[in-house]
Amino acid sequence: MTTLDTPRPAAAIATQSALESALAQFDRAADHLQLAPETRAILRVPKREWTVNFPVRMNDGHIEVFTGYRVQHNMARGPAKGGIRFHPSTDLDEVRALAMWMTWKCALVDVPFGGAKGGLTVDPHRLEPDELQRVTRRFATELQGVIGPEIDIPAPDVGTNAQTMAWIMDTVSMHAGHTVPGVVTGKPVSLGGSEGRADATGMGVMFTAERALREAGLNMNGATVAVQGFGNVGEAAARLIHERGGKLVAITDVGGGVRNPDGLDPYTLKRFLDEHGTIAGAPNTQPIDNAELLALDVDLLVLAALEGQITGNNAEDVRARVIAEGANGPVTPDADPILDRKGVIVVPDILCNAGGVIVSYFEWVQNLQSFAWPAATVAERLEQVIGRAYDEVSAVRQREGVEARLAAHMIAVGRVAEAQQIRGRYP
Amino acid sequence: MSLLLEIDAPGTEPAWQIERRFVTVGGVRRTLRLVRFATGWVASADTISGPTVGVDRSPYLAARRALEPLGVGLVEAMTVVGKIGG
Repeated sequence: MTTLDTPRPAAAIATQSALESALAQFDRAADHLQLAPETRAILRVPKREWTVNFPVRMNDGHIEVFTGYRVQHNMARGPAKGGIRFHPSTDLDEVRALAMWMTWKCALVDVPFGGAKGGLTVDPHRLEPDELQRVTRRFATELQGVIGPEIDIPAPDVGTNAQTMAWIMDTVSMHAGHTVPGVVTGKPVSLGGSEGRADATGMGVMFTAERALREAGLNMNGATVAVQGFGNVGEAAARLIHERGGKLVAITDVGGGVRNPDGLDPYTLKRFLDEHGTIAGAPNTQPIDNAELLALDVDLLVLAALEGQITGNNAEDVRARVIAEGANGPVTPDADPILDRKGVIVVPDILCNAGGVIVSYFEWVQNLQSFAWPAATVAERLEQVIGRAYDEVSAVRQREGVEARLAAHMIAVGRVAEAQQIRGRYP
Repeated sequence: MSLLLEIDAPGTEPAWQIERRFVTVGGVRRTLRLVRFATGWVASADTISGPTVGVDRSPYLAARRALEPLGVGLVEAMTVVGKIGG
C-alpha cells in the first residue's frame, strides 16, 4: 500500500480543510494573473463528480455498502489523471480538493492531462485480501464509462497499490472484452507498468531538491539532510539523496525517529524497517522526535509524511536552507511568509512530488505505443521534465518577486486558463 | 442606431495604462506593448509581418497571445511581462 507514515503532531494540525486550502491557493494565483471572472468561475469548481454506493458480500456472509467518489476537476488540457485512495476518512470535499491539485500539478509539469481524484471510504487494512479485491472490482465497475485511457486514468494513492491497479485494469478489460492497459497507471511492470514508477515520486523529490540546493549555493554532495517520513516517497528520496552524496543525519517514521550526525545508511534502515515495522531503535542511532527533526540545522529538509507539519506555530524554529515538500501540503499557508522572510527555499508540493504523475504519463504513453522504455530512459526523461518545470517556477518567482508556491500556481493556472479559453464554450 | 463620438479632453483622467517590454527572439529585439483598459489588456508585439494582437483580462494571457507568433510560450511571456500594476 502507498502509505504516508508520520502522524501529525497535535500542535501542528492545519486549521483549513483541504478544499478551503486548494481554493485559497487558486484564488491567489487567479488574482495575480488577473484572470477573467468567467474563467475563474469555470476553474473554481469540478467539471464532473460522481458518488457511488454499492453493496459487497463480505466473508462472514453479511452485505456491506461502500461509498466511493470520482471527481474530474478539469479536462481542458487532456484526459483527467489522478489517484484513487482507500481511506476511512475520505469524503467528497477532500477528493474535490485533490482533483483540483492534480489539474495544477499536471499543468505545471506540462503533461497533457487534466486533473481528477477518486476515493473509497474504507479502511483497506481491515479487509481480507479477497474482500478487498471484490470491493475494488465492484468500484471499478461502478466507474465504467467514467474512467478510460482517453477519459480519466486512475493511479495508486493512499491505501492502494499496483495490485489494486491490476484489479481495476482487469475489471475494465473484462467489460471491454479486450485488454485495456492504458486505463490505469502504476500497474505492475509485468502488466505494462513502467520501469521506475515505484521510485518516481522520490526521484522527483531528489531532482528538485538538488536544483534548490544549487540555487542556495550548495551541492547535494556533502549536504546535510533530514527526512520526515520513510514510506514509499521518503524511503526512495532518502536512498537516492544518499546515492548522490547527501548525508542523511536524521529520519523519522510512524514509530519514532533516528539520528546520527556521522550519517545514516538508508539500506540498513530499510532492512530494519522491514523486520521491525519502524526505523526507531535501529543500531548505531540516537532517537529523535518530529519536533526536533523539523528544527534541525540542516541544508535540506524533506517532508514526506503528512500535511500540516510546518505551520505558523513552528515555522520560526526551522533552520533548514531548503525544504522539499514530498508530501501534499506539509507547509501550511500561514507558514509560507515566515519561511520566505527567513530565506528558506521551499520546493512546493505540486512541483516537488510531481515525479509520480510524470512517470504515470510515461507509462500511459508506453501503453498507447505498446513499447516499453528502460529504467535509465525513464529517469533521464523525468529529470528533463521536472527540471524544466523547476527552472520555470524559479524564473517566475524571481521575476514576480513572489514565493515559489504562488509562482507554481500562477504557471499552472495560467496554462489551464489559456487552454480553457482557446477551446471556447460549447455550444 | 445612434453613435455618440466623444473626444478625450485634456485633463480627463485616462482609464488606461501603457507598459512596454522588450523580448529578444532569435537574436532580434522586439517590442511588446501592453495597454490596460478598464476591462482588461491589449498586447501587441512587432513582427516582420506587422503587429500582433492579444486581448485578455489577464496581461499575461494577452501577452502570451501577442507573442505566440514569435514562438514565445506562456512562462516566457509571464517572465517578459513581469510584475505589473494590477
